[in-house]
Amino acid sequence: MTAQLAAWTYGAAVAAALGYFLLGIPVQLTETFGNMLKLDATWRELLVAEFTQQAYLRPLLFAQLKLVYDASGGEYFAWFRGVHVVQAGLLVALYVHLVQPRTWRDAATLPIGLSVLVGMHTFTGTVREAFPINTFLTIVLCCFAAAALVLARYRWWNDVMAVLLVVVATLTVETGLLAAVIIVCGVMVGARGVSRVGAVLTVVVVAAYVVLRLYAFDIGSPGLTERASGYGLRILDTSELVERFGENPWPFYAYNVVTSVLSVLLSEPRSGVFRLIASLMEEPRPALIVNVIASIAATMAIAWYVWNRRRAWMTWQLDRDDRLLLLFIAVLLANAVISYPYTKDAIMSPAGAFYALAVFVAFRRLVHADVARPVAAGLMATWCLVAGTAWAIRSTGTHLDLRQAGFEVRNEWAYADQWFERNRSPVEGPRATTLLRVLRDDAIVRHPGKAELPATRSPLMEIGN
Amino acid sequence: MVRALLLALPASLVTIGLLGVAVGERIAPSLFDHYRPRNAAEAAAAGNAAEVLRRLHRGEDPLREYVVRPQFISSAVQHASMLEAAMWSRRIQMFVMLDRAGVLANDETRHELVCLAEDLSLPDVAEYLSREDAPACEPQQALNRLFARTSEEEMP
Repeated sequence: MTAQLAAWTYGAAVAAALGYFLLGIPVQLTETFGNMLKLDATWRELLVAEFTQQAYLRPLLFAQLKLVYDASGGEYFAWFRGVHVVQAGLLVALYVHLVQPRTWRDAATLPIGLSVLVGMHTFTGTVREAFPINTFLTIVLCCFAAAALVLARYRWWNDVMAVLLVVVATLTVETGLLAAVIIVCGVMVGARGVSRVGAVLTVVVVAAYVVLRLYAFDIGSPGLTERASGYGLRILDTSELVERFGENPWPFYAYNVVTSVLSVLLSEPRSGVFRLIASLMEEPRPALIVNVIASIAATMAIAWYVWNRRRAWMTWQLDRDDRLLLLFIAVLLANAVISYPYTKDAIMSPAGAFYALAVFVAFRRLVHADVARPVAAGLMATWCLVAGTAWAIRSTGTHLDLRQAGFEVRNEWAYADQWFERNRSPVEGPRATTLLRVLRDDAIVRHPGKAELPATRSPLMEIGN
Repeated sequence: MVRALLLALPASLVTIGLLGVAVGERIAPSLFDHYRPRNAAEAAAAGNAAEVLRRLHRGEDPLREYVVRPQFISSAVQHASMLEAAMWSRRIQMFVMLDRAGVLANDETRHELVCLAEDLSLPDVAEYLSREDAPACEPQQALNRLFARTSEEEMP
């Protein structure tokens, strides 16, 4: 009981620190202002417009935005950033709930697990990006909630919750489909929180989504000409992509899937670009080396776990930790497949979050393992120290990056009129002008930035865009 | 248990440190003053456009000479106005913003800034600020005048 309390207290401390640094970021200008202007429409107008537009099928993303927008009564910073902080707190709480620390050794494993959750590059991109609700974080929450449901004790309403969760996640962002993957895979590996009927119903929801998207609303997936993408050692622009892969895009799609998997396991490549190799050819960047060391140490722990449990796995004698790890593998592969048109850190955020669960499971077993030989014990202790230190550095980097994000967003607002001119999107009408003034004053006058912390300039951490 | 401790220690120290920053910034903000701009010139030098704008709204004089700590520009330039210090942001957007805020209206000030931009090899800033009928600048003179203010201050 005391170890559990210690674990939950530590989780609360991590959530509090994250929340504090999140509160330093004003509501963003880019990718936010336009969305907020849409929210003056009625519910009906908004949902009809979102269901009938050609680019995406994300109506519930806008429903969530409107809910908070209407509730805010003009206090946009407090409400939208407040939601962001609550999301971060919920994520940490769900993480602790999923890994279920029971002993003191479990509680001692929690810091590295939460460091991986917060320090993963997939999380950094996720927690920074907001439209102005952090949609990718919403999906990670849905995925964790799906895992919690399927791993729980069965109750009839779990099936209803599972179906609702999949509907909400899928209609929020495309990666929400992963919630269904988690439910189905959870049932397949013996979790009994959701019944087989419940799992089948989530598959029906996914099938309905695909039919609706492809045939009813004629919304495809992004083509090669829509955005630049990483390939090899650099970013290829759309014309280069068409030149190389216009006739046969499958090698490019396969590249995206494979590099998405590698990016979670090794922190390289990132968004399709092998940045560490590119930097070693010019000027080595210590932060990228720290990232790779941290990931190798953690991925090795997962590999060690799988090797240790191979006999149990082969005889299908799975315990809760095995199921969590198998769910990670399923989410990693499915997330990478969804990323086939283009790869980006934030899109891989569900896989990154499940990686943090798998790392906890692996290190929990490692700290409990009996090692008789002193050399092996010494090596394992060094391994733990290297992993703990490298992930602590990465986690610090995420917090400092949030501080830097606050600085960058405030400057965006200071240069807002120039940004609108560059994008040829003049602010027209009294509503847009008022919203611009309120958000700008929020960012610059009412919630001025905090001091840059000296550690921000450390070369060991990746900070800033 | 050694392994558990080695695993837990670094991340736990980081969490304590981050919470320490949160509490420290509330109760003793001066502890974190090293890179916090104390005046409009320091904000401009750091490229902190939002802070510049905030201070202008508060009525700070863009032409007033401020003490600028060495970490913001250099030990050779420790006295500068906000407009001069803005050169070290090396961002043309900063000057567009200041121009629109109406603080670059004076021709003489503008000319001095053009010369400073040329001395600091900021051609886009110099081009943006220059007027057609303005006289040519003498190379390095504007920068030397700025250096002189710091060296005069340091003389016994």
